[in-house]
Amino acid sequence: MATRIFSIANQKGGSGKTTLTMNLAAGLNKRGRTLVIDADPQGSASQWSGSADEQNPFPVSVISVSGNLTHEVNRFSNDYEYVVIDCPPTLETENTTKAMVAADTILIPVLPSPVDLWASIRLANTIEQIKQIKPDLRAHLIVNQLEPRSALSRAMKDALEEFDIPALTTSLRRRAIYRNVAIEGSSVYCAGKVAQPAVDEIEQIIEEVL
Amino acid sequence: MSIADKLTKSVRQAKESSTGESENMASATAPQDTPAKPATDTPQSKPSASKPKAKSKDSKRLEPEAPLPPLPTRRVWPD
Repeated sequence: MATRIFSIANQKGGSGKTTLTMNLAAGLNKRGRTLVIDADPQGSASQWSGSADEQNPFPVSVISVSGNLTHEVNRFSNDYEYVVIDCPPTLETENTTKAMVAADTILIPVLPSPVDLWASIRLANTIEQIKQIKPDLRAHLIVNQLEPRSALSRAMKDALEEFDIPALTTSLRRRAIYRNVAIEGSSVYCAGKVAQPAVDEIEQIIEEVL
Repeated sequence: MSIADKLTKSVRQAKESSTGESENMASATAPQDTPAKPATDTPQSKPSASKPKAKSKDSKRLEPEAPLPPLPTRRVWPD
């Protein structure tokens, strides 16, 4: 079975890349062996998994890569069914481009805010350029921290249609549980009933992208 | 105008200005990129993965250097 590689990218910091990476990886790991590659020099994914208790480790292996990402992806991907790459929050490093070129699917979390949308336009342009050499590449925007009662959140649907990249129909709502599981070095899958709505969101995202 | 309309309009404008920037970048780099392409050049349909990035770096470097005389350039921007 060919390895499916997901790159979680957005040059804007705080868009939810690591949160999506870790919870998506936990969900994918229920379907097949999964690896997280932490390509962000800030090491947030590594920090996340390192926060786990020894008795309850994060269920997915996390490796930190600061060197040649392509080399590391090739080296590890054969041993895993799914690889999720947490990209650096910039387009100015080679590893961001390499992560997007290596990916089968790029997921771009965007917050429901004008500034985040404007910042994502440059990334969308870069993805269009990569598609010229990799036409099968799939890319999706995902609204993160959606607040359904906020007018701005409701306005996102129309604004996202301006992008050439389609948005997933599933959004991630703003939920405290996503922050709480980071402290625990865990995922929403291990947080009991209170996290069920978040689990449902991640599951819907997985169903959409697989 | 509703928030939805304002947001959509702002994204459209940002997209248009981003396209404009790309075009400007292309024209700024054109004198450096275009001369005397050898016959063995890679066809346009197969750009390398790093090509867009390299181009953007070049264009950034060109902007401050353009108004300066050739010699001081090295002192202003040491390698």
